[in-house]
Amino acid sequence: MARVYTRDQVLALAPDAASIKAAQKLLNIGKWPLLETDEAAVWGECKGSGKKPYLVQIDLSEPAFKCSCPSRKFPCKHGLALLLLLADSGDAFRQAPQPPRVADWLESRQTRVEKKAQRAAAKSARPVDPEALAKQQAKRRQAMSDGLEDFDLWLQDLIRQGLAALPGRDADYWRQPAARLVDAKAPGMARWIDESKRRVARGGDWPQRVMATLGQAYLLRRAFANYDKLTPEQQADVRTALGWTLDKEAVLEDEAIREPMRVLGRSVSENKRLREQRIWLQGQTSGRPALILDFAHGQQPFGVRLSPGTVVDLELAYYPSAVPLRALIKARHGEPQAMTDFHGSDRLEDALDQVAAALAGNPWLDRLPMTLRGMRLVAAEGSWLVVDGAGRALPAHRSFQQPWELLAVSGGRPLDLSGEWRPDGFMPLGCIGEEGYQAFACEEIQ
Amino acid sequence: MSLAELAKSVLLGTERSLSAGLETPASAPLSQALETLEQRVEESPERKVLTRAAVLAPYEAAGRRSLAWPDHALPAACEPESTPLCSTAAAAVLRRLLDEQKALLPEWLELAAARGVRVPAVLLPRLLSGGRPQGEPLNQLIRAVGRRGLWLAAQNEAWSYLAAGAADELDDNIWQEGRLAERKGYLEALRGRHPEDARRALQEVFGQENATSRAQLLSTLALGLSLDDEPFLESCLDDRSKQVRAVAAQQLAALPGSRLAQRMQQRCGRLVRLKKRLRTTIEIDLPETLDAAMQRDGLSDRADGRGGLGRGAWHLMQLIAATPTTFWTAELQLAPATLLKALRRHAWRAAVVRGLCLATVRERQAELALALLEDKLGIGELLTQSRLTEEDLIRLLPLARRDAFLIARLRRAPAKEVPALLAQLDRATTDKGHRDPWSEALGQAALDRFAKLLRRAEHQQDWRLHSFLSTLAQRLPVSLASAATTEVRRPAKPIPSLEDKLNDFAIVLDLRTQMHKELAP
Repeated sequence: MARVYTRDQVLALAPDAASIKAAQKLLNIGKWPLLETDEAAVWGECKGSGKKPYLVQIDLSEPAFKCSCPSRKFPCKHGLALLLLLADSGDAFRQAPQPPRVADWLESRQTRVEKKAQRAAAKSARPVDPEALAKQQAKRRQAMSDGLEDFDLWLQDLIRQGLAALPGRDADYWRQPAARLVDAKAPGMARWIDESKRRVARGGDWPQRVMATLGQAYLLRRAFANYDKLTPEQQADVRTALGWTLDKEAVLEDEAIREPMRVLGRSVSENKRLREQRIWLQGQTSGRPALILDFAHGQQPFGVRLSPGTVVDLELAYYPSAVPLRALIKARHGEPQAMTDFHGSDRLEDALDQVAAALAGNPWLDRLPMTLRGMRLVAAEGSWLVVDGAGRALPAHRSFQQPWELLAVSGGRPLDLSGEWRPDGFMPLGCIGEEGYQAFACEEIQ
Repeated sequence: MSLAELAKSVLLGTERSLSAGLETPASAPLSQALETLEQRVEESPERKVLTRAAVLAPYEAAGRRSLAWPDHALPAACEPESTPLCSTAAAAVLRRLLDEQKALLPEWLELAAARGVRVPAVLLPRLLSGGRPQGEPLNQLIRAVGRRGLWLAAQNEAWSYLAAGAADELDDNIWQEGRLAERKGYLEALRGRHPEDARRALQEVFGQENATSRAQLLSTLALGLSLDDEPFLESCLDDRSKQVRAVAAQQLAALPGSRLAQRMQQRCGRLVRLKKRLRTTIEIDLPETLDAAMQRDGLSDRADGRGGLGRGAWHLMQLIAATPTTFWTAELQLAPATLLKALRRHAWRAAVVRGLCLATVRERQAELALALLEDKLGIGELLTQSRLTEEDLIRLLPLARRDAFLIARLRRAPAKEVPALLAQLDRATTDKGHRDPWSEALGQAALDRFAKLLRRAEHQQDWRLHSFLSTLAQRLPVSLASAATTEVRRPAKPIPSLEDKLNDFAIVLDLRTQMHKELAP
């Protein structure tokens, strides 16, 4: 039996809402003179406006799409529709051997993957000139160091003139130091400037909240000044926080750990057309957390496809950190299985202790995985609270979009929740209720 | 010292006050951390502030704890369900309906209620947010959402319509304190259970209500109307408000045993005489004046709505509209067809037939409706003037009769009239918001004539046919679905302006087919 993606999983692949709408218009078998499938792929012909039908084919292992239509969106509506049809009306597909166009394409994809692996192997095998590397790194450190000195002066000016002046500042006031930090190859620091600006704009008790971001920024600035005195893991965290990330190849060189991983949930945020996808994982036996971070521009699809609510056997290589979380997938094995449970804390206080421990290791973390067991949801004066069996409560994040769905699934009884801890609330991303795992949507535009 | 205090102290800047934000924190670990950091750098006051913020920010983030939440403040959990969950495939169809085809929701709910299965919990919020469905399907919605749905609805004010419809005990507070629409809903619900209690509740407060409320609330008596309501309604004919009097007169006219109905019948009796010679003829005198008693009974002298009738004929029309139809069928012993035949060349045909149409719709008289619809002279024009449509009469027919009538008419009609007939079908087969199912024969007849027209170039741009396509998709019995998809596609040349609609047509029929398959009893 070929691997079938559920409707939710297919919809999650869509580059935008318009594509989903367009694909739904194609869920008419009459439009498809040919619908065929085998173990590895599904292919079909879809009538379009022209004379010739579009040839659509999907490699089910990833899934990867190919279509003869001219659309620039990816996957296009035809690809989405074909996969949706497979999910909704699988009977309409004929089991058939692959026609040459499909077989050739699958083969070329396979070759490309192998070549890439070879190239990567060749690259890692190539001896790096340690002297040149050290020189290059020293240069970058100098640039960053200069940039941070500048930033230090800007921060001091800000304090000298007072927080009360901030709401009256024009866009340039914020843009210029941020741009200088990006030039100085410390884009991660610029993020705190953006965040401060947003907090001022949001109003409310902004002075306190801006003070917190300025504190975080200054802590990072001081940590970089002490770079040589830090442990290698701490150095890695400071570099990451400043936006100086390791090459993927370097991370993949390290030994990978293989374990079936639970896919706990997925959240997406968009900032200036750059979309960031976070997929939270948990080792089935070890309980070890992992974060698969992925970026996509505009309507491009994400490269990493893991469906929340499944367990996938993965080889993971972690980025070095005092609190190892972010990892890369080195290899995946076998078919995903349904997830029926996960490790978690029965008490909110225990879960918060773990958060505190993680923050002690890396104070710049602003999202952490949090899995909770036996929780109930309660509405309290326009906000929602997650309540544990010990009579403690934690507010759900204000941009949690589906509290009623969660409440409906729980039926008022305790259930297990997976989500993200954030400084301003818990963001539920999935739960396990009587009807199995249920994912919650989390797409935010900043 | 906290971040909040630090922020407050530097609102105006270190420029203005040098000591701003430089207190020593009370917590031992914090002051230790500060000391270590401050030793290392030659500190400006600004840096001292920033260093404090750098220590306090992670300290406060890591120290954010949970709140105390006493256990008794948790709402009661939902009781376990007694009905099974619908199949995964049926749930998948429901999700598609919620996404893109809300018009098909009542059909899904009806099938699910008949099958005795319920909606998956996670879809309940979207389903309930769709709002109160029109007419009958509220019962079906209540059954399909199961206990979980009712439990959930009880916690969201926007969904209270569901709880109110399902509650065994009505909430008396709504009646005492609610807005007019809510009170009307309460009264309707009570009326459905205990008609007597509802009327008594209304009578108790009637004197204290304003005219609009009186009229609105009185209109709820139409539900479960009986002779027990007659004395109260009769007394309302003397109400101060014209609005209220009109509602009361209308209700009483609908009660054949009421004093008002009898008075109307007597008035008619004085004006109408039957002559039986070779054929039945009817002699009618026009009422000469509108006396005070007639005005009290709701007959009006106002000129608007007359629609070309003279003054006397206008009074006659109103009189007949308010007279029980048994006057014609029982007292005069006229079969509906005979009555209409006798009226054919009558000088006052327009007034009498208009009155009859109104009385027929009010009484939901199927026999008379059929006779009126089949009258050779046609009643279209007369209906329009009474603010009625043919569909109002058609939907009074029992389903089998209704379909036979519609089929015969579709078959007989010349091609140029067919688009209008098709356009009428949806409304004619929808009663109080509920879509009565079409028989296969009706579906086939509509499909045949529609598909034939579509093949003729002169009809291909008719917007009525285009919009009928969506009616057909939603109403056609699913057993005809696959035949229909090929049938409407038959024209060799595609019609570009219709491509999208034809595509939707196939999608809707396909969804309905899946839905019927998955929820078959």
